[in-house]
Amino acid sequence: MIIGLNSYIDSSSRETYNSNMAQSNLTNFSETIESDLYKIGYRIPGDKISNADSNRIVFFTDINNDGVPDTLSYYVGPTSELINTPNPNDKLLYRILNSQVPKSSSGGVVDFKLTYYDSLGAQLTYASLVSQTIRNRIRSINVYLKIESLYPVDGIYAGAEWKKIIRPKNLN
Amino acid sequence: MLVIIGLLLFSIFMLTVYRATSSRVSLTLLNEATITATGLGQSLIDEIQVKAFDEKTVNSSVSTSDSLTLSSSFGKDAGETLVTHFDDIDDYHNYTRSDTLSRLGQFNSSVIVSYVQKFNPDSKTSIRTFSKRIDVFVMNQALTDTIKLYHIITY
Repeated sequence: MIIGLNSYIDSSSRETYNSNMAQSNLTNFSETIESDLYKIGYRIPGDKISNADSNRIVFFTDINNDGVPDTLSYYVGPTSELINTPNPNDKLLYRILNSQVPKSSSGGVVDFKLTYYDSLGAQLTYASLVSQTIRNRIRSINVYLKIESLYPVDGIYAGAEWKKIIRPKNLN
Repeated sequence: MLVIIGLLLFSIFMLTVYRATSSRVSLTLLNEATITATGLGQSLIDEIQVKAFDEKTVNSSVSTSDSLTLSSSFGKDAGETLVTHFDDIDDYHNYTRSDTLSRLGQFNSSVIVSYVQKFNPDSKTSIRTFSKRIDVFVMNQALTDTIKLYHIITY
């Protein structure tokens, strides 16, 4: 009975720790993504988004407000980049500013999905978004992010998810 | 006798541990639901605030508040069958939306739009003013209470 109780306390502590870590990572990621995406097109006179796909976006903005346009991109890598972690689904989420070395995070991202909408709220298909004309019709972006713990507890990965439709002021 | 007392104390200890763990799990779920619900609520406010202030200001300007829509007429206008047809803030009055996420299930959001007093924006009023308050409520089974967000738009 004592061993059982000890095991229960141990697994529940690890589960809580994993959940808290996932939530903390989710909050950090979402704040950065939200802050960046809201700035799409800031002080950019021409095309504002140069690549829009389900798990990748490349856009222009004056991120540091110095009058020089910057290129910022987000994308997730394949799961094969993190084959040494116990979680088979986690991926690296990359953030690249201009030609800097890509910054990635292995904070347990298992899903990062972007969906694009026009001014009427109609979803733009990914196939159509290869055209710059269609990309110029983007007015809002739905971001879905799911984080899981790197280690399972009793076979279950603790997690947290976030979904938000972002309407960058300079696209509207 | 001592053994019985020992077992009793241990049982009480076990119950305390289970209760503490259970409340910790609930709190974790509550945190997650709060993060998600706040994001969904904020999305809805963002969506609403880019619309015109009033049906009367969609294509023209208004100089007196008496020209604005009566609060009793708030809600979607004729022909606005889909949310994508909504063109002004008060079209969202009594609007509801459901978002289903894989972990915590369904999040139900609802909106109330009302006029507020110009110099006291926390006070709702039925009199037409150039300030509207958007109240967004988000509910989920993991939340102990409804998440409430509000935003005031001024024309």
